[in-house]
Amino acid sequence: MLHLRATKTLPNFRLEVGVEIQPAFTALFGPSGAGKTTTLNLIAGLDSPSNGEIHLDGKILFSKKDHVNLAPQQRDVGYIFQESRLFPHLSVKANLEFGLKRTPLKHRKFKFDEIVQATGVLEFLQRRPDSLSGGEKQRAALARALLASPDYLLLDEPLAALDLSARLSFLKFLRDIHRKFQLPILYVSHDLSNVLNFADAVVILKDGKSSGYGPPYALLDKMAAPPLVSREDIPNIFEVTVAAHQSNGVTVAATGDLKFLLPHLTSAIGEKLLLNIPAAEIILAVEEPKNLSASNILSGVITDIRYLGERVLVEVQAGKKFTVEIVPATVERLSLRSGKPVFLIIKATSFRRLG
Amino acid sequence: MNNPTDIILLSLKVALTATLLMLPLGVFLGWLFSRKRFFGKSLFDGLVNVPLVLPPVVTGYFLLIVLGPNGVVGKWLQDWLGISLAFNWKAAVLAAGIVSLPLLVRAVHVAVDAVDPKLEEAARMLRASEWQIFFAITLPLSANGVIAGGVLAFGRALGEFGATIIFASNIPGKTQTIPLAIFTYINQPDGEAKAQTLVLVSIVLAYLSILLNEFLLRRIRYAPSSSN
Repeated sequence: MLHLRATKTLPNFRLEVGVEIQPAFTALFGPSGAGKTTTLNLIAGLDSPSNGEIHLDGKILFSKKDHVNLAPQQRDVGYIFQESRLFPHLSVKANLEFGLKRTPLKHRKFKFDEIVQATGVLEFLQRRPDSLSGGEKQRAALARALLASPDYLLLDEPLAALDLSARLSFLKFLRDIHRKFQLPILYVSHDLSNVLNFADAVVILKDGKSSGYGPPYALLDKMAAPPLVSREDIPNIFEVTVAAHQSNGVTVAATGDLKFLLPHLTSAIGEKLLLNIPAAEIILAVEEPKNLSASNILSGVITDIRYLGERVLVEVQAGKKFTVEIVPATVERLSLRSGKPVFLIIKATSFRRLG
Repeated sequence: MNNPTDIILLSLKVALTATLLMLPLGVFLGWLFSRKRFFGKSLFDGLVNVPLVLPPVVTGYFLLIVLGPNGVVGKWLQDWLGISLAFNWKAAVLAAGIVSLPLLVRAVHVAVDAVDPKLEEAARMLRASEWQIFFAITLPLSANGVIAGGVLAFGRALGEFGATIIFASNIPGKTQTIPLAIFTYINQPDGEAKAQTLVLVSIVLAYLSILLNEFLLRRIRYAPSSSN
């Protein structure tokens, strides 16, 4: 667990973070200038808090009260910076070995070959960093950080320099690394859809203050509140009115001409709710499905198909605009294209209530 | 009178010793001035750099009053350690070293400035100690400046005249380097031929140092300014 209670006072900025982060894949989310990078630097030891304390799994990294301020080298924290910061005078292999050879044998968690394979850097081990693409540099930087066997990994918007599809595949890859090696990760993100799709938890930072911590969907309304992001950026958010409570335990909610069937809600009839359906939880069909357990079947027309690396986002006009996430193979299998009539299948339990 | 070979060898010995002696100090000072902030920094920086603009004769004079036989430090060195630093080849080394040090420091300073401190931060996060960061990251990435500064300092040491003649004097076989010998020969009625030989040698040596510089720089293959 990362216990973070610290303030940092600068001439025209004050950072105040207070949060206990469980070991998971956690996103640090907030508008630019909110203090995200400063927060990472305080954890890494590259910057010192004005006051407070930082503990990692019971180890005191910083404590004003006890006059403890461990050097970055002693914190067992890995850091992947905005830029890859590979050492230009060393080969990729020598970059990878830089942290490894300075890690005491008994502290080493990973084997060189294991990380090289997991990060896919084998093919360019002998090359110099300046000959690598942006994505290759990021993977090499990740491999280098992992080989120093950190107890915690910090990532500062490593994705800003990459295009969207490279960014998504790197994130997915990062999540696999996190799961495979049980390594807690705190990563800074601007992009809400990344936060929703990849993070187990999110810390919201706003105007230099931590203002929320929890699972991404539980905080969605907080994140969606201006000025963090506009509601239009989050797919499948609908403002609905509770229309009826049926005797079979189903609540009917309406938005425009659409009616959604939801699990029973206690909300009074006429009450307005904000609902979200994760894009990956909507099923797409080209023929009208019959005898399904899912309660919501909507008919519509494809208006747009967007490829984002290993994902495809299909936009469907079905009374309202829906975004459905599928894999590229499905596009071909169902011969999807703009203008094609389709059906959307949504389980009653797929709706998330935001407010 | 001395033969030219001895003069050339003495010159090379003095210049090489001065350069090697000043190299660690110059690299340290260049790094210090580039990376650290401390009280009295500009004063110290100025003190190191002042021989660059001061007439070398004045530098030699200061060396004499500080380190000479009756100097504040020189007397103490003589009395307690039996070390004499004036009027011998060590004095010539010191004079050449002090005069050429600022060239080295400036070159290293500029080169270290060009090393992205973000790379040092990255090394810090990879468990490298401050010493290891200096030797594994900062120094290799500023190697071009160190080499250029070293060659420049060597060239300057080889040509040192003013500070040497005051502090080390012009003693044939002991402190008479190429520039001092040329000066001596030119003032002798029959010395012109000897002077010309040494002038030629000076030109060759200067040219060789520039070639050495180019050769060493070409061995650094990476682009030191790229950090991504």
